[in-house]
Amino acid sequence: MNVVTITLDSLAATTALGAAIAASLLPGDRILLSGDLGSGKTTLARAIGVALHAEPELTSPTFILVAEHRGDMPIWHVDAYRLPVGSDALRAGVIDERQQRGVTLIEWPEHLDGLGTEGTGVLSIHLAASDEDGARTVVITGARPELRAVLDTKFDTIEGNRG
Amino acid sequence: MGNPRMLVLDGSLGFGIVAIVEERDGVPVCVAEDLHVDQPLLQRISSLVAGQAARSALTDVVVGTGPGSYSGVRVAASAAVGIAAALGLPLRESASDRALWLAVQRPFSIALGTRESLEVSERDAIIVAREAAAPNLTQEESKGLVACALVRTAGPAVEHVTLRYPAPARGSEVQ
Repeated sequence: MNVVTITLDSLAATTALGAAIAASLLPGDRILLSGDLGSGKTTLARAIGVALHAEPELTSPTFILVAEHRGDMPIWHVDAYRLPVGSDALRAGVIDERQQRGVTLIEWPEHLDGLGTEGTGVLSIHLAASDEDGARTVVITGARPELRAVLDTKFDTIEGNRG
Repeated sequence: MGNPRMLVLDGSLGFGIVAIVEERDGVPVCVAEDLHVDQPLLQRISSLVAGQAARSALTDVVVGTGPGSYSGVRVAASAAVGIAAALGLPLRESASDRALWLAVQRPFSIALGTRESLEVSERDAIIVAREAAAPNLTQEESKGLVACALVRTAGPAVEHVTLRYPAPARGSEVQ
């Protein structure tokens, strides 16, 4: 399994990570964003959206569950926080065949059953507040080689899960 | 009194089925179908049922209730409910997967997500990984056949549409 850990110490670093991820995305990709409240999931989602020229810009879709955005490719932004743990992703309507045409970012994926969490086109990102003030530890699983190369170039990467 | 003439709508395949079906001696015949799947649903319906005379000739609205495309099923059902209410027509439901099976008589799949498909067989419909699913049902294959099959499997008039999607749990049969 391709797992890498990086540390984000500023909003600029988060923006750079969002841009790197966005550049690697292909239609049909899913990004699973996990982590506690306030860990920076939506901030990273917004950074990816900015890099994809999302219109309107991404905000937290907690109360509407799914927001759709135009951009370089269609963007679906899902927040499963309000759904009970174990909710069927299809039954809940957060998965749709139209998502083949764009990228789907899913916050709180651990609330959903039936999401493929591995395989090509699934990028799992776990965020956690680190000991350093304001810094975030980010564990990325499933990065394509192109993304991994960019991460290794632009960030101090650590092999494996050091979150 | 003319033959029963039905507006048939189904969104389960993702691309909407929009057709006019007439029952002639009890046999459904597709007399018109809009195939402009890239256009908005209401625009397609409007062009198929253009003018007061065409609307007055309708006797029923038949709608596929899924399972299938999450958004497609809901959009078609919403349109069907609205049109039936506006024109004062009876609304009838049809199980999309059974009608689709009746139409093509082969195992096929409907894309549900980027990695999930609904595989429809003679016996049931189950959710499977997309890479393991039977080939999708194409628009070309569905042309003319699905609308008639939806009419053949339609039930009596209903007050409310009951969708058969949300999907059942993985591996279980559609009830």
